[in-house]
Amino acid sequence: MATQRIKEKGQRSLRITAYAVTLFFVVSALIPVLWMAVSSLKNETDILAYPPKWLPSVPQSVNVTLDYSGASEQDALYYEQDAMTATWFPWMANIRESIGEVKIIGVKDGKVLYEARTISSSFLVGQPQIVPSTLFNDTMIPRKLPLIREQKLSTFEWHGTSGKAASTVARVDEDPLGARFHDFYASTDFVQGQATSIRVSDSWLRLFDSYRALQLIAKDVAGELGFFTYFWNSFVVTVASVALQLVLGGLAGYALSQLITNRTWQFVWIMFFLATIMIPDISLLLPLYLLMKDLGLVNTLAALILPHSAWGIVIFLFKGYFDQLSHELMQAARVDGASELRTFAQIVVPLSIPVFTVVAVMTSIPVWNEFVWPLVVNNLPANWTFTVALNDLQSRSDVRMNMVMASSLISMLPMMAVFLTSQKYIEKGVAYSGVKG
Amino acid sequence: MTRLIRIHWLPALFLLPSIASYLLFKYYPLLRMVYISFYQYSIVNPPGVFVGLSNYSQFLRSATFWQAVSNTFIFFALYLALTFWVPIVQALLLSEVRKGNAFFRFMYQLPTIMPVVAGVLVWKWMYNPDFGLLNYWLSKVGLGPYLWLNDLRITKLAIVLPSLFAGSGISLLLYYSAIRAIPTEILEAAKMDGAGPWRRLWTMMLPNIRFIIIIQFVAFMSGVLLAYDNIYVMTQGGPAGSTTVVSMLVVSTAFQQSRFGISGAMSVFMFVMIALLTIVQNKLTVAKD
Repeated sequence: MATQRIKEKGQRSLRITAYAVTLFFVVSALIPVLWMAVSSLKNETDILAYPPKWLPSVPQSVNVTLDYSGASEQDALYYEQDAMTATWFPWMANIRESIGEVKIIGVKDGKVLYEARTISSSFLVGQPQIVPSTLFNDTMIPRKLPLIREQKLSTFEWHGTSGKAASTVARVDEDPLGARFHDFYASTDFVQGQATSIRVSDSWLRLFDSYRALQLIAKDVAGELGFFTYFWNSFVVTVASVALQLVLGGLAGYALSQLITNRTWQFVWIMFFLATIMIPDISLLLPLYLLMKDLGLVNTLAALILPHSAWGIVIFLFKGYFDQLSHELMQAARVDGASELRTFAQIVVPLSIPVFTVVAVMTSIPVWNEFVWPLVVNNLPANWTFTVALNDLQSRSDVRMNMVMASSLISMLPMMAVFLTSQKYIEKGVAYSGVKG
Repeated sequence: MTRLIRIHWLPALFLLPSIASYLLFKYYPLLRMVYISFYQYSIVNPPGVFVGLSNYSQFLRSATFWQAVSNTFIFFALYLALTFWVPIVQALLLSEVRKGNAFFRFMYQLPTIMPVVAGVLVWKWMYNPDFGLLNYWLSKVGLGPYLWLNDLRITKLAIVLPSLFAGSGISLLLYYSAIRAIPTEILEAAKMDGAGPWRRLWTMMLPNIRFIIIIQFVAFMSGVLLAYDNIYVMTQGGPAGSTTVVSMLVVSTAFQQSRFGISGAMSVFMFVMIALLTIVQNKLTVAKD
């Protein structure tokens, strides 16, 4: 048949335009998302690079061996301070390089004394306190060591004299970063050990350190769970709100559709619910806040959840669906002696799984993304939802753009999961609530 | 009487939770909003001093308010010019895309689920005058650099621009399903009469979804009038109040300046505006059916 089809004039140009325009919009919507993902993987220097770089540079792992052979015996504290000095000072001096981690291995007479490791997220979070500038001095590290230990910024593993045999290969890599570290050790008096070997290698895993740094900072603000606190809060709020909407909306929708037979009353109640659609949320912000204050719910998650139980549109989605259910079926159930309650629970609800799903999906997205109300009613970081936390992050001085991008990207993931599994329900819901009016 | 009660206890039981919730979270706050608007409201010692309509005359006479109103309308014009038509064109053309249609539909909706706050933060980063992507690209074609979020002349544009590319997912779906619902006979008949594909697009499909467009337009209006999140995260209403809209004024008057009465009065004003729009929208919907 295809061969007999008459090619219309303009068919081709329309087709081409259609694809071109569609592609254009899809791609231009994707660029910000891509830029967000790429930026979240960058280090401090890359993120401020001009011209902007699309590919983040690979973090380098610096492995330094410090040899204490020939020096007098000292206690663990002495070595720990030396290891910290050998880590934090040269790193600070080379802060603009892409350093992913620094490992120091202390050896003495062919035995490993200790191993110390610091990764970039810890360095970034600790740097303003530990080594605020490159004006180094003797007392810096001894003073800051308790802080390093308390916040677990660097690990220090002490083997003592019973340590395993150290590798004896002494070499400095032909690498600019290695050379910089080498020069630093050669020119400084702060580090006691002799840097016998400096090796530099790629460390891909450290690309994700802005995510870890974000988590460390969030822990400081929101407690043990860090950034997950915000997700947990958003999750609790969303699930509870949707549950409330399904139960209250379902019951009311059913009552309006099937139980109230008196036309006048039906109209009165429909108007009672429908009229609230006219009230913009922003107008109710203040009185609702005062109400929550009266109820003692300010700074609680309940204050975020409860107002969602009154969403006019939800009842109408339900009513619209229940209107289409066959009256005969319910009549039959009644004739068989089922109570109204039983009819609803055992016949109507199982038949209405689709509408419950549609409503759940359609309402969870705006609840999850809600911003003003949580911002206003909640100023306790432990009860923040992630949208409020995101907004707070961008204004903090210790948070860099790569961390902001990391947090934004993470915030997309949960709804992405919902979306991927329920796209058809969203399409259904739109067709249902929109086209039908 | 007893019979009446017996019949109605069940619907009452089903409706009661919702009625309670609507009374508590919609009607009571609404009344309280009107009530507050007549007082120089004090949160410590409510309700404070009764001032009659003075709150209303105060905000109606303040230059800040009228600047916010004019900002709101400029935003409206910008959104209309830059974004409103986008999903319509997208949907019309998407209906001509056969191969990969489901894929493109999926991709169109994807940005919709990005939290507004996250989306704005990326754009804010792309707008950065020193390290941003946009200024870099524009410099390639000899434009800029622009101070996107500081130059009074373009901050509004900077806020609207992201919506051009991402923010049309749901309305696109609406238009698309409306286009799909156009009976094929109409299109076939037009074809027989010699209307080419382009002509069918503009003279058959577009007029056939005009009701959806009108309804969406009213929804779009109230959406723009109530816009808050994206503007707040992007500029917090600055610089120099050039992006402060009425809804933002309502919030900041109450929660930053603690002038609750005036905020209440402005809330009433917003409510009336939106209520009028909603009534128009419903009239149109009814007319369509």
